[in-house]
Amino acid sequence: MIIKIYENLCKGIKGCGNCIEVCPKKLFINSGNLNKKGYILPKIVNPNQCIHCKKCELICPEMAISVLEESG
Amino acid sequence: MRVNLSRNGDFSIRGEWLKVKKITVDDILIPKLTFATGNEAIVYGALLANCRFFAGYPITPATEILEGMAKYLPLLDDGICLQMEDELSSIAAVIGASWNNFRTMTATSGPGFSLMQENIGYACMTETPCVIVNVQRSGPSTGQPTLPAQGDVMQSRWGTHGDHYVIVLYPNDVQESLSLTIRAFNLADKYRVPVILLSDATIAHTREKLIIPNQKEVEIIPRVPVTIDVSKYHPFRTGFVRPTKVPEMDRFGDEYHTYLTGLTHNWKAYPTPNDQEVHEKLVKRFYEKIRDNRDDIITYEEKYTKDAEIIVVSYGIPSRSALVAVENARQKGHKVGYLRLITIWPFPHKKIYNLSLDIKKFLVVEMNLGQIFHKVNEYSRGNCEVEGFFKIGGKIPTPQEIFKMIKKR
Repeated sequence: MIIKIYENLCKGIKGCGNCIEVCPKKLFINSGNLNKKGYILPKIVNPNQCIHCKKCELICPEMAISVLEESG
Repeated sequence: MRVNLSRNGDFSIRGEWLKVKKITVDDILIPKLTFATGNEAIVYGALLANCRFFAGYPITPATEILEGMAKYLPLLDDGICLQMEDELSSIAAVIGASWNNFRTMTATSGPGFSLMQENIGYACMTETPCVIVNVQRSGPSTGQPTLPAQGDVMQSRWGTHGDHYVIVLYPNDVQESLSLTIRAFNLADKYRVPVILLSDATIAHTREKLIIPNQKEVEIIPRVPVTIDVSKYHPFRTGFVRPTKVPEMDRFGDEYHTYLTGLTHNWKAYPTPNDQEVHEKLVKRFYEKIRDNRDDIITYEEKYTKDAEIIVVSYGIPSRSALVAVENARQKGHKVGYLRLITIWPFPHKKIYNLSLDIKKFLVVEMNLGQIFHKVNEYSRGNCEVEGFFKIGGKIPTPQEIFKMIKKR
């Protein structure tokens, strides 16, 4: 499983933070890094634990998250 | 030459500070007896109620409100008046300003009110206090721009989609236009709900006696600020600090963090569009925060109802004809009462039910083809007859016509 965060699109966890709130496995945390626009980006811990529910992909208002299935 | 401006309006030229006298509402509105139109009274009421942000788009017959606000608000150091490009952006600006701790207002008429409906729903969902003045004119569509009507009574309650609750007030003269505007701001801030102040072209353009009150005598119920510790704060959490269903409101730019969305949101303000329980709890709270306080909100005026057999129910401008007709009928020995609704929504259902037990007939006088008529019919529950007298097309029902209807039975 690959969770991809498009850093340029993200509006930051201070203004939104929906991904952190919605993830049932709590895989998103504050990364402390800024993107080009100065927003604080989320970071993914333990991507192996992802259960592929795609809630983060659905909730993200900027469409900055993609959950990609590893093609077999 | 270098000029420095300080926040309170003083400025310095070459290092010398000059004091500038700040203009306050007291300088603009001197308490006195004056002669004013209904629209001017709404402007005065808004200024007295500490409204400092107005965004609108001119439309007959509400233009004078925008004109008045454009005249007075820029004189005050914290006042902003914007003429937006249309009504959609007007209400959007009003919602945004409200979240910046302004008391905000916009004014429009029927066609503009239709355009505003989408964002009124957004204001309901995000619980944003704001005041929307709708000076009614004849519809549908462009209709009769300069003539009065009461066709927006149901639209003001059910205009935007989904289950929501708004408060709707309706004055019937110029003095009440001022006092109800102040009350509208207080109710909006107290219950965090958009308040719609209905008026009509006749009240808006009638010149009448108006007593401008002293600003110190005006009762202002301010918005409840957030006092809780930042770590414990959640934007839509209720019953935690105070036993009420109205959450405290923070403002953009302060230490508290609020994420606003038109999607169904939980008490942390995160969108949960697929959760049935959260949605039910949220929307039920919108209803309950108004319904539990109906006794506080509902106002009406009644006269001669104690021994009445027929009661004339009216609101807005036809109620003035109705009162004359009722007084004439009383002099001629008819047992007629008079009930005027000041709060249209929430509807005074208990009053209508209690009156219906002892009388023979309700006569509902309206300038539409029967909107409140159906509500009176619903809440009288068949205890008495309900008859309507409807007149549309921009002519106000005359006392003679209403007297004829009273005599007819």
